[in-house]
Amino acid sequence: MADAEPAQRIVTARSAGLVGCAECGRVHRRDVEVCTVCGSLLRSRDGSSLQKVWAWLIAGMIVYIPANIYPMLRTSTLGHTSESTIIGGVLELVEFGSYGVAFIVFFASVVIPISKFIAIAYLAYRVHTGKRGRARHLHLYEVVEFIGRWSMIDVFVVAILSALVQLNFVATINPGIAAVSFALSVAFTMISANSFDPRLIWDTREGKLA
Amino acid sequence: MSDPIAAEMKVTPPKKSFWRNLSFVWLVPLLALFVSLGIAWQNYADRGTLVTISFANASGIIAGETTLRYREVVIGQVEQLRFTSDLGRVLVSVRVDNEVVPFMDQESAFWVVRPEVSARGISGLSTVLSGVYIEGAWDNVVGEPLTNFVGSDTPPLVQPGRPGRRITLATDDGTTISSGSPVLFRGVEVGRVETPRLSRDGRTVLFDAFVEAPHDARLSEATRFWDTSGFELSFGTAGFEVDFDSIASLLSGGIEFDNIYDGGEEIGPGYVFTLYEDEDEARRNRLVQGVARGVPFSIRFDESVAGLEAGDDVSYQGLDVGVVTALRSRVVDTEFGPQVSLFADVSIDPQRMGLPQETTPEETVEFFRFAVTTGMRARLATESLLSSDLRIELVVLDDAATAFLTEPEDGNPVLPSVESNLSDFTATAEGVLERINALPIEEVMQQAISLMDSIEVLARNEDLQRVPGSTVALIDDARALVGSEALQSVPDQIAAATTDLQQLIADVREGGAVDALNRALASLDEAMVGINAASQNAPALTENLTKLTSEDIPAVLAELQAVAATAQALDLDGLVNSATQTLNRIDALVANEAVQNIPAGVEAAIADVRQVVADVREEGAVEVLGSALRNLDRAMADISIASQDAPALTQNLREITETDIPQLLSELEAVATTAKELELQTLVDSATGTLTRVDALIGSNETMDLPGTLNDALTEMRLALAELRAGGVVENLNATLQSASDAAGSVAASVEDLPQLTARLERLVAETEVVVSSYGARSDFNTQTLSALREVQNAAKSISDLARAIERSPNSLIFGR
Repeated sequence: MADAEPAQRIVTARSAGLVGCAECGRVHRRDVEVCTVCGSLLRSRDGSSLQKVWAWLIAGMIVYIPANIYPMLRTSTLGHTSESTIIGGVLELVEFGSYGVAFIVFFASVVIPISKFIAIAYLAYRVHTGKRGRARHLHLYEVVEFIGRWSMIDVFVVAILSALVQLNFVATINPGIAAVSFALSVAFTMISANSFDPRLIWDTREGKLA
Repeated sequence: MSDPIAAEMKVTPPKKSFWRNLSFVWLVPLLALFVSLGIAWQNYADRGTLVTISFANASGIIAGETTLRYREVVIGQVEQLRFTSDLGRVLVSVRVDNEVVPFMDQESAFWVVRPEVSARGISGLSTVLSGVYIEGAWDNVVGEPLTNFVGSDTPPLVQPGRPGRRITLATDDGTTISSGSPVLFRGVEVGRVETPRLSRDGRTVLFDAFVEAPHDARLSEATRFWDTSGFELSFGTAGFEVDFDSIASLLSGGIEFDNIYDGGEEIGPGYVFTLYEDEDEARRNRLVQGVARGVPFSIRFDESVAGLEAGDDVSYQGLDVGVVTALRSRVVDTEFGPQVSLFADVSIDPQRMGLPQETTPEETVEFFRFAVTTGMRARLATESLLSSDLRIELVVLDDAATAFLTEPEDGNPVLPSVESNLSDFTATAEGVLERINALPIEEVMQQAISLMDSIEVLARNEDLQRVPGSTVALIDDARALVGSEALQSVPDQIAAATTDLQQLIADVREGGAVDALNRALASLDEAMVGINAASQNAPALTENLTKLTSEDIPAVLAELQAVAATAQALDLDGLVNSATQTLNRIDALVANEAVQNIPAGVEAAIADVRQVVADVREEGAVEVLGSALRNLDRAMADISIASQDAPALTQNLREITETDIPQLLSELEAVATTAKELELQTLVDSATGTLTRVDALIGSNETMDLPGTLNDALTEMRLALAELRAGGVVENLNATLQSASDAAGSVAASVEDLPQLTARLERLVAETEVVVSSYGARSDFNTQTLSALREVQNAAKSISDLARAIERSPNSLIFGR
């Protein structure tokens, strides 16, 4: 018998009427509103967290589209202006032969955001459908949450270039719309990941919805 | 028995209302969606219109980069480059801002701005770095928008929408005009010339020019265009002159225009202006105006009209009043049969003749009809003195044959013409030069030259050169003589003598020996009377001599010189011989010691007198004086005897000076006068006669004895005085001294003249000696003078002939005899 019901029911804190602070971990009784250690709100389960997750995720996806369509950088060298989108820039870098940079840009600007979208969507879906969660989902969640901020590296590059390369006629780099859009996209997904309550995974694990 | 079990209570969570659970967070994606869509929509809506411009080639145009600019503002961007279906042109798709699209209408011009270096300047340099761009130009009137345009490679010379007018010019030679040449009006650029093109038949070069407003209002039928390109180089009295309008016209050519008369008519759309070579030609060409406004006439010429051509002026009293429109010949029936006559058709502008503005052609003809009756005729005249271009001038001749304005039915009214007096300047000038050539100038010059040679030889003659020297020497001698101590001391001596005498008289008066003196003085009186008489003659003598020396003899000398100057060579040998003889005698006379001793004698005499008086004084005794006076008495008697001769002597001298010598001189004058009349033989004869007489005079004993007689007289005086001195008689001194003082007074008076007399005598003698010696002693002086005179006479004859000829007819200098 695979995956038989455990012999003993594990008593969850929730069912024990206890709630732990999400920030500091201090356990409180259920009716306590505010954590006595860190002062953050004590919430056993957030009912609307999934909506938030989905909302922010969709917003991030929406905003990610112009980030790819519109040019990321506007470069003017000696009066010669050229604009490049993310993927266009990657392709140009590959043409130039800078494979490393191209890979980094591609990975940071394309792979990670899209994987984040997929990951968070997957997790939200699983929670939503009440499928049983596993440990790997939790790991996935943690990875997503950790790596989310590193997508901002692309925006950081654009910002640095725009700030430094202002050599008037010889070379000028200006950010395009895509930079703003991409930053928003990254921010939205970060919020989305942040609003995802991983305890929901446990709930589903236990087959119970919160 | 069991308790009832409560049923399992189904506790179900309450159904969440969908809407109640919907959190506000969903606004975020919605917002994001809307914003994104909005931005996308705005981008799409603002994109602008796609406009297609076709170019011959797309050099430098890059899709996605090349911009379209209007007035240097980017209004669009090239998106795509395609070909036309036949690959003939490149279609450039440009996305243009929507604000500008409505203005792009039919008259828009598009061109590619590239760096361009031309004579007009360098333009478009910024495109070197930034790449070419397309520039468009259109007017600022919203017209019918188009989306397909044709672009060109070069900017249009005229910006569409600039106010102005486009005209067409024609010229034969388009080398100096190029596209972009400026059109100038009084030096100000008012337009541009576009690219020249050939006319259909290839004979004319046509090009369009654009004249900007407001200057295009000046264009009318009266406008003439001329070429001002290049430069004009002239070399005149002021040096080099380079004249060009501007650097632009220098390099790319230029056209200038001006209205040559006022009130030209409007030009129609297809009007073609002619481009003339230069300003003068343009201004001269008033054919159009003449024909338009002028009244046609014809003029018949019976002479050659070579040099007259259509376009030449018709002038009236110097003012251009018309223009020749055509020259033709016609067969005219005359009384000699059919003859070919030349007709010149002219067009005369009534306004330029002074008729009022609204004069009809009939009135103009009426005016000319009247003018012809008052003598107006047409005549050919040269344009300028040296050219052979002709023009017709209308002149009013008082003496013209009667003629009328003939008006045939089938032609213009015919103005009568007269013969022209075309002066052929070249022929006249030639004639003048021929006349000048014919003058015998060379002969005259040769004779003048030989005359000058003779004069030179004459002047170089040593004797002639010695004359001034001799004259100077003579003057010096005379001066020396006058200044000689002897003569100068004479007055002193006389003064001293007078003083001594006065003292002596005083002593004698004291002495009281009067009677003896009286007796002595009586005889002294006689003597003195004699001397007085002599001395009375002496002033006259001196006067005569003065007259002789100051007037007559110099006159005679002048005459003699004149004679010598005008005598021609003939037999003068006899003259020369007798002259030589005379001169020898004069020489002897002059050389006579007696003459030379005269002043010495006088001096000595005066010295003796002084000595006597001194002795008398020294002795201091009246007795001595008395004896002296007795002796003096005796001496005086002798002197009186001697002096009785003196008057005769002086009388003789006087006679000689009064009569003989003047006679001689007058004879010489006569000779000279005769000589002047070029009667040579008689001249020689009379000269010879004169010389003989002179010879006789000089050779006469009296003259020869003259110095001897004078000398004797002086010697006797000296002896007497010596005796007086030796004797020492003083008794009759008072009276004697009284008379002596009188005598001394008259002696002084006469002696006063003596120095002058002697001086003049010396001078006379020296002059005569010099002149006569120079004349007679060297005969080659004679021959040279004579040959010179011969030459002079020949030259004078030629010159007088010439002068006479000119005098008779001055025109002969130009027209010949």
